[in-house]
Amino acid sequence: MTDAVLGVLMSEYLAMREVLLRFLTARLGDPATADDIYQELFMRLRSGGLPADLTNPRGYLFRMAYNLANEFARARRRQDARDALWTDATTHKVGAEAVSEDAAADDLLDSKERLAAVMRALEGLPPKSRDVFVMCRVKGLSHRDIADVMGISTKTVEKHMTAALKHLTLNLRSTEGERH
Amino acid sequence: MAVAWHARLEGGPAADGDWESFTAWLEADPLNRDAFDAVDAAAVDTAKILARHSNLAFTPMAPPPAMLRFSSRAFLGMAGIAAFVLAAVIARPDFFMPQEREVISTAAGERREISLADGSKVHLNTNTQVAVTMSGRARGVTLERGEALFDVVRDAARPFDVTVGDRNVRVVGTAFNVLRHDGRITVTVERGEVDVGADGARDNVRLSAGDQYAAREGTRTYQVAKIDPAIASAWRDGRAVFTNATLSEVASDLSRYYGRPIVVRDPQVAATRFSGILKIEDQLTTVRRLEALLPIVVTENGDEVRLERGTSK
Repeated sequence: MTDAVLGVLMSEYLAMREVLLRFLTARLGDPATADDIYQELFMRLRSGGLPADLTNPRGYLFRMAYNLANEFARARRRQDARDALWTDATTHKVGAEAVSEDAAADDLLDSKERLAAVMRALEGLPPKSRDVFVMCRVKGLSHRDIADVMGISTKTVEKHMTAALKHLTLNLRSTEGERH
Repeated sequence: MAVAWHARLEGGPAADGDWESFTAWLEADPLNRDAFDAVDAAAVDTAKILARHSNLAFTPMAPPPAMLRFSSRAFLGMAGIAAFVLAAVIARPDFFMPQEREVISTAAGERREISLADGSKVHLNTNTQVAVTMSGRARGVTLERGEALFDVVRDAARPFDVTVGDRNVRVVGTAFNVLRHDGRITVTVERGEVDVGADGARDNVRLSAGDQYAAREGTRTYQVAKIDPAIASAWRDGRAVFTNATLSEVASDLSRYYGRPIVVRDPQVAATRFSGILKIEDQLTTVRRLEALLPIVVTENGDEVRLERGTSK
């Protein structure tokens, strides 16, 4: 990373403190966590991988904050799921050896019920919505890219995506566990 | 709405105002956050299974590499980080009405905000001492040691003077930061204008917003540079900011916040340059952040914390 880009980002990072903390607090529900993620954001910023030409530093920092908050929320969900599994397991007196992070990450998905629920949900998806979902969330294409590949408008892509998300959320919410 | 937000934010670059609208939507109802998390959980789990069992779904043509979004990196113990609280630093608003000359100080790691009788505000950083004198004709603060941020109420009839070592800063109405540390004096103007003069010198230096004046005590020489004032006042929000500072400067500056000094013995390590922003937490947490950014290791040795040569990360 060039010093110039870092300098611009540091100034922007400081100037955006209030809006980023407000966003992170709204996203994660707690100011102390938001403040920790705000520092973590800077650590990620410093660990490199920045585009050489940064045209929109504000959008860049918001995007980073959004991604970090999602990562945090996902880790928290996994932790909750693990705690739930642990509570179930303790009735059978399982030993005290700690489960590794990676194993824990997959606990939720490898639970038979969750896997079956995802399969069922997938079967119920209309083919177009499923294709759009795969292209976006598995292959990492933007809506713009998908519109080009499929020869449809971005509005239609968004419609398919929204339908897919609605269907998946509706069908998977109940198996996620009652932890709210 | 949760579905629409997830589709939009994951589907490509956000438009102007999207992030602010998304924040407002989340703030409107705490349940919106849960709804968004539920969409995210469903989408992430489904995507994971589809990626793992590629035979489950029609696989469209492979995207050109340039179109691939970056994949989120491994999640590094973030849950643990959330548990940290800013315990060492206490910002306590205070009301203060000095009669004659009052001395106010902060301990290492402490921050304090003082309201003066005229409505001006002084924020004291770690390990700082000021003496305040207020009268009908003049307003005066002496910064005996440490760092303070002044937000001065305009009053043409009563000038506001800050004395720091052998320099003094005269203001009418403005906000600025003054630091006295290791024989150096730094004055940074956030808003308005101030005049800085050395004891016995005939001429003052006029500073305006964004100017930073730096001098060594006992000399008449000084430098003025342009700086983002947010950098000089970041400590008020519990952050230390460094731009192209040597590690010996970083160690000396961070030492102000703690009872134990941070030392660098290896000259090569001491000369290493660092730009960055560090949250001021307990000493080891704060100093160890440097390990992630520079090829150094942090060791504790009785009554000091050492920065030593380490492997590159």
